[in-house]
Amino acid sequence: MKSRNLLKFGLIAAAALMVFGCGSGDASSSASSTTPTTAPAAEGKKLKIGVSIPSADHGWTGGVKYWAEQEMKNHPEIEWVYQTADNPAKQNESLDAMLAQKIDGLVILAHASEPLTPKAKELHDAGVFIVNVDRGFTEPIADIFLAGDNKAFGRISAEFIAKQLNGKGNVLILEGVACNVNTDRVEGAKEIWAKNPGIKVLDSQQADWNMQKAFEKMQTMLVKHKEVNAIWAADDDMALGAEKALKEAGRDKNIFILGGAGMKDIVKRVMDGDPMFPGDVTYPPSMIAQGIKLAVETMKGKTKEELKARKPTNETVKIELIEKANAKDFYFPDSIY
Amino acid sequence: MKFLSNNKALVALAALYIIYVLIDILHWKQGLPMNPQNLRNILSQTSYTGIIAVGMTLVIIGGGIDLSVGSLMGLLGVLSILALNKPSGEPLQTIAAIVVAIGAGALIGFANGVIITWGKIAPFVATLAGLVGFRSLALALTDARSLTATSKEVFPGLAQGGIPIPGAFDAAGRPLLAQWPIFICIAVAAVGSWILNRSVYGRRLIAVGANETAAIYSGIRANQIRVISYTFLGLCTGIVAVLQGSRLTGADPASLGQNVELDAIAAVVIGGTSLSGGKGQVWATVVGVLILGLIGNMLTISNINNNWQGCVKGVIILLAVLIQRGQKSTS
Amino acid sequence: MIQAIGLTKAFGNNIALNAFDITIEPGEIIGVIGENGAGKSTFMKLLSGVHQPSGGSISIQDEAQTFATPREAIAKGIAMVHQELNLIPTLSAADNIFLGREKGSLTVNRKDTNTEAAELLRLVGASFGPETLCGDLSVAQQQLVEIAKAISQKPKLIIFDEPTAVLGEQESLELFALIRGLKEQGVAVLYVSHRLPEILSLTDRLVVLRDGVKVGEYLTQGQSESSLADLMVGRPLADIFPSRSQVAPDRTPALEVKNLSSSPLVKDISLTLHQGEILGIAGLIGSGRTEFAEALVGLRTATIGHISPIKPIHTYQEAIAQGVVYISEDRKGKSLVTSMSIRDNICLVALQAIKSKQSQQATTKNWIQNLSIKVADMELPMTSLSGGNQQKCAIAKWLAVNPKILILDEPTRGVDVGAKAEIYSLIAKFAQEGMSCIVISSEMPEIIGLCHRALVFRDGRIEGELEQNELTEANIMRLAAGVEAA
Repeated sequence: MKSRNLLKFGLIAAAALMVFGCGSGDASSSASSTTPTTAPAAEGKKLKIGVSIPSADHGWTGGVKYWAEQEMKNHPEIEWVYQTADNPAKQNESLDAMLAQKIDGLVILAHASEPLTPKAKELHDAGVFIVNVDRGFTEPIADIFLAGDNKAFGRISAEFIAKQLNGKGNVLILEGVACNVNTDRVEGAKEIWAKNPGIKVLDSQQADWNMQKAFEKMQTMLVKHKEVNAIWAADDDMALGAEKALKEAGRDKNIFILGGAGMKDIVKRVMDGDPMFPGDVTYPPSMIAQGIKLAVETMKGKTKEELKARKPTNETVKIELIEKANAKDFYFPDSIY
Repeated sequence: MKFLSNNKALVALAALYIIYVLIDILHWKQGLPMNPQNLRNILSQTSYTGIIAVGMTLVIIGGGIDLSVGSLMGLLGVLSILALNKPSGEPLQTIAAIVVAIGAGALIGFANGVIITWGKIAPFVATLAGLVGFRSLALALTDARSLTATSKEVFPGLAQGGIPIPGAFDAAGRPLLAQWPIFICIAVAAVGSWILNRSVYGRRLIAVGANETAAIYSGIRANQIRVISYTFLGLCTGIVAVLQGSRLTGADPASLGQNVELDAIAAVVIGGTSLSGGKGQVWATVVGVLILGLIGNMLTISNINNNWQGCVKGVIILLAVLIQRGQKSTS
Repeated sequence: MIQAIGLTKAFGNNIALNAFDITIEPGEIIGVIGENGAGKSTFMKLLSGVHQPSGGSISIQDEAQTFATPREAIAKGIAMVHQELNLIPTLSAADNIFLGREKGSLTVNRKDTNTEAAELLRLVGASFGPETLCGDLSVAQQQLVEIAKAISQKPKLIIFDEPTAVLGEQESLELFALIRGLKEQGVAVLYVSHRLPEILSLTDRLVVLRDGVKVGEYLTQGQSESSLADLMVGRPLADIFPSRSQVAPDRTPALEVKNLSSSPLVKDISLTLHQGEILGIAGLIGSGRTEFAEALVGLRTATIGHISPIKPIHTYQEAIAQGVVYISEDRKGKSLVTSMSIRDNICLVALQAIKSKQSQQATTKNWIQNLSIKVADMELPMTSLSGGNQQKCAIAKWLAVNPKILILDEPTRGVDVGAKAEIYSLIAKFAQEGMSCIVISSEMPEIIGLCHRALVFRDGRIEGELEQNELTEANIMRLAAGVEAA
């Protein structure tokens, strides 16, 4: 019995080693376990900064992963502890692990605000300098908050549609997975619809940030609604799905789509003057790189006390409208998104 | 009467359709239940899930289950577009995409079957591992990037082409097409139905699913029979992966095939196939898929709040299964 | 000629069959008899490729055989009619007959399948068509399909395992005629049965097994029921059963039930159980005995016309609270949690009263002594015990709640002879102490040797009641099979 249990234990341990071994190999430079405790930067030891982001499960988060890894490579002087997480619970767990590894700072793009606030607070109370990107915590615990503004996203794209249509026309809406990001974008757009009584929102369906779903929902909506002038999609993936449905139904004339998030394929088509995509809205995944850079610049050469004394700052990632004229400034052919 | 009591799935579909017509006449007044384009859309949208559900029916009748098909579809879609985008010229590229997706699908299905039978790992667990693993592999192969098909002619035609429906035209005045996937789904269902009802293999599959010991006592190689069912499902998944790639002219590793396994299993159950194996019909599964498609269409057209649509769908699925239960106790 | 030499099979430490020799000639009908657990079914499963021997050899025409699967045994001409039915309810009779050997290479040739199946079914005396779904057939009809399936394999040897257990009188007679016909065609038959009259009338030779060992081979001619019974048991029956206590002269009823029905298997049962009485319930498998017991204690939905002196029972909890307990025939499936320890099992029902580990150990120790259960360590899992000791634990578990009425379903199934005798004397002792017992049993000697009185079930009804002086195998069989007295 005993020897069999030992064998089982060994197998599990080996499997765990494989899994976690691979995981850390994924990081650009992983934490070494021999690092001494509390390492104030001023004493000349390497700064240790954690980076926690959602797993690359679709284009935009893929972009986040890409930009985070790029930016970490730019700072070899920092010891990076890098983790991606599938869901908020996993992200909480990875924060626990980072705390155990005694990180000095943390750059985090949270899966969702509420479930991660208590854990982030715990780290903050333990003296970790926190740079929060995109989604804010429910308590003011971030030392630097680099906010993404999903409401502005919704407003700017809706304004553009209203302007293109001269304040009069029929619009169909494709929403993402029901969550804060989606709600903010849709609410932002709603503010604009309210101001433009000539714009009629005919229908709004959920397509889960998913091209195939967007395609199918749009197919059905198009049969129902004969007169459509524009489509507002909460991201570029769904915008592409909508376009395919328009083409398939032979309804791709005298209509345009506005998605958002600055997918390079769409930006290219804006730049080329494609009538289907007269514009797009940025929501750059590169904001994570901006956050990492801010963390490094702020923390370098400062003692823990100095950092503690520093006043929290808020910055907002600028959400910009991409049009034919300025599209080339937003087109990065080498970017993965 | 006997026909009706033996075909409750069909009754449920008819009832749902009549409800649809009534609501439309009384309330929506848009004629959508009779609109050829809408009906065509329902058929083409359900054909993808339908092909997988046919394979799933055989697996479930054989006493198994496969949770990995959605993720597998994502992986096969990625592999197929990667093969397609090798610049070897058309139609070679398209052939490569088809061969890779279907071949790899059958191979992985076979591996699933081997792990479940000879590896003695419960199907739920083995394919749960696949559900997690295949998706991750698809993401890793692409760095979570969407792939775009470079072939702009032959390949998109696989799912976007079709046969014109007489007298029906789209908004641009082009004849409305009944796309190939609809016919492929019918063909796959016909093959599945033949396997189940006419072939020697089908008899043995039912026996293995109903009572594995009895099957073995009758000299049947139960493991082999079950492996074949998983292989067939893998093959079906490959077909759908290619068709989706063609329809969307590309593959998104994150979303392609997401939750397809749930729709497929739901369709099988709605069609009255017993999850404990040994009993079921392929055509009833196809009806199950149509029921799901019709529900989806009605919900999209209705003005029910997006967040509530899942509840409505769940209740209708439960009702459909309850109708099936009624069938069992009366027979 | 099929021959087995030194055939041995061990399951772990338990040797189920030990150095068994037999030679079977074409056209011979050989009876195999022995008590439950004597090794009959192990022998048959080795011959038919279900199990593989741990030692010894099987040969056909002097050619050594190893059957890794039933498929290989079938290919060599050995067919088996299993006791537990092995049909696929969702397939037709014809499909079941040819399962594994379908007509046609890729597509099933429906026409050939149905024609040939119809012929075979006619041969075994079935009155239903080949396309009938097996799930729609009665148990007896299913048995006919099993037999047709075995014959369709054109075997050299057919093994019948208790084939008449579920057949009626007429069907049984037709089966015997069929078996004699097979004999004339040169097919060898192994016939396994508890029913000694059948063995005596049908077989040429017989083999007696006891505790996994062959006791001997005998010519059937010249044997009698009583001589066979003694050979099977190894000692006169009288020694196994304890002397019966006298039921109190006033015959106070401990339980009176009127018009209990539970669809579809239990129909309108009324009975009275007296204090200190052991009431037997006999009947064929599927006659509704187990279902009656389960319905009585609230494990099955039932309608009960009247029940006294206890209060009406709707749930098993209500039955237990009034001291009515049921010990299932399915020891591994329903009676014990075999993966849990002996202590956990014995204390499982009385857990509310004995929470602490110390008191549980004390209780367990007490029962181990009282019932003389052979236990090395009470913390070992139940699987470490033999069948007999497991059964005693199952009894102990229920005694721990001080029952007044004990319903034992097949209390000695799969238990060796020694443990049987001990369980019998325990039941007799409980009765002596005033407990009332219902013993459901398929083993007629058990009913005859142990009970004060017996009810015989048939098709969910009480076919008849037998007082102690009327208890004979012939009387029980007559009622169980529903035939008029000759």
